Formats: sequence, structure tokens, C-alpha cells
Amino acid sequence: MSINFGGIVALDGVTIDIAPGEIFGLIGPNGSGKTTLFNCLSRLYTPNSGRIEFKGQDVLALAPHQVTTLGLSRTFQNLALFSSMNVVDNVLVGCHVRSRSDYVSAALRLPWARREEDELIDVAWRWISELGLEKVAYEAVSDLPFGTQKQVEMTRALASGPDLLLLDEPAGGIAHDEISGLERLIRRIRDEHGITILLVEHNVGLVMRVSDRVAVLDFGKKIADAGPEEVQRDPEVIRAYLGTE
Amino acid sequence: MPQSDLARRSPPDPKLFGLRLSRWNRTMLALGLLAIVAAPHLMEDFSVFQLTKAAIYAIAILGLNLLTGFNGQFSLGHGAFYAVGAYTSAILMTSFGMHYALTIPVAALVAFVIGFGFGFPALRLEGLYLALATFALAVAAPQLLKFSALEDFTGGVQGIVVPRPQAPAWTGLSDDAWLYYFTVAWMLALFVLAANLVNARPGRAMKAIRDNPIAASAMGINTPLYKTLTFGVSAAYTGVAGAISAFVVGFVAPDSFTFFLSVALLVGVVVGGIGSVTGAIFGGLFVLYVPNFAEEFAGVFSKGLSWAAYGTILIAIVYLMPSGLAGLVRWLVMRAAQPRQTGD
Repeated sequence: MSINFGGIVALDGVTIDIAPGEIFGLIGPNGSGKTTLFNCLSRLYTPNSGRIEFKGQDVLALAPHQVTTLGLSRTFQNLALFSSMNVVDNVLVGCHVRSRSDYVSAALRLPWARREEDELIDVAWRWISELGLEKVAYEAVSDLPFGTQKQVEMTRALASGPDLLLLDEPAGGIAHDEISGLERLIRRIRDEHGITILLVEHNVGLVMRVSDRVAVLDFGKKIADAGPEEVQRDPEVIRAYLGTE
Repeated sequence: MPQSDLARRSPPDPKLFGLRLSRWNRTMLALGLLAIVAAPHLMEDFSVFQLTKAAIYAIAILGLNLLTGFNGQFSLGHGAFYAVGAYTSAILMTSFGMHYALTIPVAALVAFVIGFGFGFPALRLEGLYLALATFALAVAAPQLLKFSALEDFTGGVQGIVVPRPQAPAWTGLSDDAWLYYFTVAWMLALFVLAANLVNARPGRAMKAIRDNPIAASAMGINTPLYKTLTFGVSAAYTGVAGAISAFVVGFVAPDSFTFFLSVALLVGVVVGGIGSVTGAIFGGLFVLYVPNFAEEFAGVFSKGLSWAAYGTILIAIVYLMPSGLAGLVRWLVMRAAQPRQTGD
């Protein structure tokens, strides 16, 4: 997959292959193309060339909103919550793709639409308690601390029932002592819910601890793709990225 | 109640002067309904007619609020959809002899189709640009209605005189009181539908698009579809208001639907409360009564200053109640309830 913005090559022939049930870490220095690749996967950007396949389907043939329907959900590096709404409503928006009540059935409160709404609220609360957000459930998200807002984003993404969860810098901006909790959470999402995870993260330590496989990007090119131990020993990775030590 | 295997928490329901907020809401709703039903018995016919007009404005303002307040799309042209509704009703009644009540769903449908259609170019326009495009709609509407080729239907500059419906004999009501109840019944039904809508899946999608369109799309919301549909529904609400106004006022003419009407509706949205369903009722009352009040108030000094007085009142409201009258009520309630909230 390749993409360029006005002559600047952001991604240059990068191929990654994520196996179901895997936690796949993607790291690289600033500007190496991590987030760009991520935005291509969620159809925010369209690559100039290349292919994205998910569950045997051509993702690039889909409109951005259809990607989520297919079972691919994401969080954003710089929060993108629905700021005027409370936590429950944000998570309920996450449930959008698993429900189908429309203007007419909702306005008339038809029995099936009410039943569906009830089920959605169940799903939303299951994820809210899974991530321990019960206490702030009815607070407006804009009143919550940054770290909590990041958790709300993750909850919202999980509520859509994804098979592949794309996490864009989940550790960014959260306190140091919260990292181990995040690590356990990421594992639990995969282990207990069977959700495949693509983790884009600056915190190399976190990525190396939770990932089954790690790919390293540098200047838009993939320079390594292997298990975490192997990647950490890779001379090119050490030179490009970890070489500061 | 369906059984749920997990502990959902219900929304906070703080106490206010010893009574739960949900109880207050129900009490106020009951009192409000009582006041609505009793009003025509306590007033002269002209006041009832005024109140009917306020209810009509409330419907139109709610329509605009669904678009602007809940979906974040600006419109300075809703007067045009109001005109579409009014003319649809007037033409169906006078040229086709249709019963006034039956013209309302037709007007809603016509306005929906036009609004939905206008929603497509609106997709490419954001914020101020959309405001300008809808402004064009508002200024073009009166001239189109005067257009000579359509004169056979629209009555051109003269407009159309619409026969005012009479109260059915079994009601024993005056015509004004009958039209009042008729209008208020439509208003209440449309308010209930809107309240259901904004608190369910489509309403959340509308608000999500308003708050963050990129994230909304990432959550699987078909943003173009929701934006155009919301435009259509919003136009339909305003079209219904226009249709009712045609036979309540008994007259439609191009100059009743100038740009000023569009602005008045927007004022109603802001004053009532952006993104508040009940706020539209405050908005309707404001749009109808405050210009008169301003005139009387300014009349103490000079008749010519009535709009200056209106402007002063508007500035004061926007300054003192940034979330409108509905927002002020909510804020007062929250303040009064705050100390008790923790003791739950």
C-alpha cells in the first residue's frame, strides 16, 4: 500500500498482514506513517495504490461508514468524542451498526424499535462496566479527564462489536501508572472477547509487552515485521528508532 | 419490563425541594397540558387566535431545531418551507376543494421532498456557506410565488384567500377555539414524535454528526443519508406549520413569507434553546409576543424604536441565557438540585 500527499510520500509500499486473534503492534518514529496507514485502514484516507482486504472483502470499495459495519472499529489519536453527549450516549452511538431502527420506527416507538433500544442499552452497559466507567456514565464526556475520555473512546469502539479493533495511541497522554491497567485491558479484550487488535503506539515498552507481532515503520517504509524479541534485536530497527540508547 | 442480566444504572434523578426531578417533570407536564386545554376558556377569541399562531410557530421552530440544533446544519431559509406548506394547503383547499385537515399530510410530504432534495447540495456546504445557500432560498421564495406563469395557482401578488374552517357543531366551540385545539393537537403529536426521535438511534446519529462528523462516520453512521433525511424531516415539520397557518390566518400571500420569517424562526430556535425540544414552545411564544411587547414597551418613548427595543431584549437574552430559555430552566433546576445530588 502506498500513499502520498502533494508529492510527499507518506507510505511507500508497506504491506502488513494481521492474523485473526493477534495483537499486532505498529511502531515507528514521528512522521513514519503509522497514523496514515491507520487512516487508510479505516477509510479516512484513500491510498494512491495498493489494496486493503478484510475478511475477504475489498475495503477500498466501501464507503467510510461501511467499514465499521464489516467489523472494523477504531479510536482516534486525538480524541474524537461526541463532546456534548454523556458517556452512555457516546457508547450507544458505538452500537449504531448493530441496530437498525430508523426515523419512523424510533419516532413512533414501535415495539421492535423499543426492544432493540433495550438490547443496545444492555450492550452499552456491558462495555461500560467492562471498562469500569459506571461512575461517570451519565457525565458529559467533555467534563471528564483526558485518560477517561480515551477509555470512553475505546468503549465506544468496542460497542460496535468489532472483529478488528484499531487503537491509535491509546497510551498517549495518560498517566504513567495507568499504563499497566491499559496493558491488562488490551490483553483482556483479545483473550476474553476474541477481538483482533492493531495497536499503533509511541510507548515502545507497552507495544513490546502486549504484542504478538510488531512491525516497524521508518520514513513510510516497513523495516521490520516479526515477534517483539526479534524486532528489538534487529540492527536496522535499533539504528532507526531504538538507537538512542 | 424486560429482564436484564446486568446492573444498568438509571440516570441521576436528584431531589429538588424534596421531590425527585422526574416527578417534577411529570407534574410540570400535567400542569402544562392543563393550561393548554384551559386556555381558550379563559381568553377572548383574539387572544386564542394569537396563541394558535404561537403554537404554529412552535412547530416550525421545532422543525428548524431538528436541523440546526440537533444536526448542526444552519438554515436561514426555513421561511421558504413554511411558504411551501402554506401554499400547498391553500391551493389544495381552494383549487381542489380538499378538506383542510387532509392538506396537512400532503403539505408535509411536499415539504419533505423539497427539503430532502435541498439536503444534497447542502452536503457540500458547511456552516456559513450553508447559511448563505439557504438565505438564497429565503429571498427567492416570495418572488417565485409572485411569478406570473404560476399565477393561476398561486394568485400572484394578490395571494390566495383561504376559507377559515368552522368548528364542528358537536364541539360547541367557537371557530377560534376549535382551530386552537386542532393546532395544539398537531403540535403535541409532533413534539412527542420529535422527542422520541432525538432520544433514540436516529437522534443520537444526528447529534453525533453535529458533534464530530468524522467520528460519526467512523462509528458506521451514513452521514450523507442522515443529513439529507434530517433536512427533509425538518422541512416537513416547518411545512406542516405553514399548512396550518394558511387556514388559521385565512390568507396566504408572497409577502407573508419574506426573509424576515426565516430569521424569526432562527431567533425562536436560539431563544427557546438550541437542541431542546420543549424550548421550541418558548421560542414560539417569544416570536409571537415579544415583538408586540417591544412595541408597547418602546411606545412609552417613541413608536419608531420598537425594533430597537426588540433588539435589546434579544441581546439581553443571548447574554443572560446562552442556552436559551430551556437551558435557563435546566440550569436553575441543576443548581437547586446540586447539594442533594451527592446524598443519593
